[in-house]
Amino acid sequence: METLISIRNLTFAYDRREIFKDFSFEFQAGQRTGLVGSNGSGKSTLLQLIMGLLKPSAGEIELFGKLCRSENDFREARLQIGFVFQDANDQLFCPTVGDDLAFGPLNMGKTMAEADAMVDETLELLNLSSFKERVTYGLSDGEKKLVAMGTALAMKPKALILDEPTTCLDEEACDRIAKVLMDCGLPYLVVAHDRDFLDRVVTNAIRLKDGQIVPEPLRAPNARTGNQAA
Amino acid sequence: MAESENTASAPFQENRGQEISPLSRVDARAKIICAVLWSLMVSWLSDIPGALVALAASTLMIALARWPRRNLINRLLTVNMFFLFMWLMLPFSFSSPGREVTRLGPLVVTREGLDLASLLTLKGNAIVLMVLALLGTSPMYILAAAGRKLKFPEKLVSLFLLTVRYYQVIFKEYQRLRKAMRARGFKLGLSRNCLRGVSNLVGSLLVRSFDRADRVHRAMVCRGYSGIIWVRAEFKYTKTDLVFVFSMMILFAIVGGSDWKP
Repeated sequence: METLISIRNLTFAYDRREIFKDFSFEFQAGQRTGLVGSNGSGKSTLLQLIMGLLKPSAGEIELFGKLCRSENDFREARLQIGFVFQDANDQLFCPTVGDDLAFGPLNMGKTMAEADAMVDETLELLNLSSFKERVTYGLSDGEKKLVAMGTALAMKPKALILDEPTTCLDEEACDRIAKVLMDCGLPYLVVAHDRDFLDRVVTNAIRLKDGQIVPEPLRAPNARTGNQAA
Repeated sequence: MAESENTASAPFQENRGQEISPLSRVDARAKIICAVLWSLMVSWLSDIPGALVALAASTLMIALARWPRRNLINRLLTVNMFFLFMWLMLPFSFSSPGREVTRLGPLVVTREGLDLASLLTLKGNAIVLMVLALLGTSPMYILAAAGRKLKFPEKLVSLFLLTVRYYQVIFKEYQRLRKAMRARGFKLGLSRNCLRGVSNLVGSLLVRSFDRADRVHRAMVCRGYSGIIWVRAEFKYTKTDLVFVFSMMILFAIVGGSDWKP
């Protein structure tokens, strides 16, 4: 199995607060991994380190088999990872939904027409075909989140990384997002506090604790209902 | 397209009047150029009759733009607040060589002062009305794309697009903060405590906006941002644009001619 993300002996600190020390992590193709941990345990930090948005003070990050050190290395790798931010308002910055979805493909060097086709395809996939000319700020929170996922999917990435995709969303919106995730056919790494959602969409889970990874058991569907009753 | 929410008090909503006005069919590039030329020409006018003709022409255009009356009045009130201050100063500012009209106590009201204040007010309103009629009838992002076509600096275009987009978000954040303050019994006033509250509000809006800018930039970088915010907009000059440019030229000629001194 191909290793998509490999982190070796990484150290990272915010000022003096050390988040990771001698940290290692691997993510393989075909994995659908949930990442849990208490607030401030470093989940978002880890995701941003993977994307090269934060610089570690020591250690190596390898994406798709290529060691990434400089901004240039990461720039290339980023185009293959669809990153969905926690707040959709941060991700959607274009006037219309269509513009936002076209932004990534155009940055990849596609022509307007090619990008437009990719936009249509992605919207179809999300069942949002009528949304192309909608003004982004007029969407509901659930719609914004779906579109934000669309902006990542439109770039035809090899993997997805999602930071809290279900915060502040109602049940119906969560269901739609879960469905999109399960149908996308991509490996993904997802951070979520909502365990019901997480157990539904991932095949394994890990927990970040004191800067290290510990395995996290998934709750079986029937056990889950048992838990809720208790 | 106009799926805007109930953000009635936010100034940067998607422009009104679009598609119901004949002006919204005109190419945004032509409109930007004409708005700039118009502003330049009107600001050069030196006599009241010329300024009156310009104001009449602008009024005609705003009528053509079918701008909602209530909204228009609000906007004009804001602009004219500025001119009100001129009316408080200018009429009294030509005391020595001016022709005296009347006296208010120790202050002399001069003909020159009144003329200048009227001229500025007329010109200002003529420019504002025309800019609203022309630029207000195109969606903001089309204006940005048109600006890019007209070789405006890329940074300016990006700034404009991001302002339009995030004004809403920051405005909503402001409203949320204000509500949260009110829920804890905050009332706007001039007490020490109150001013501290307002300064905290402004401060936290600034900090939040700064943080958000950081997050937005990261999200953009993740999608390969390299300095250009693309907008899907195509521009083609049509017959409508020809008619528009021709009519504008006539307006320019009339206004310019009325102010002409050989």
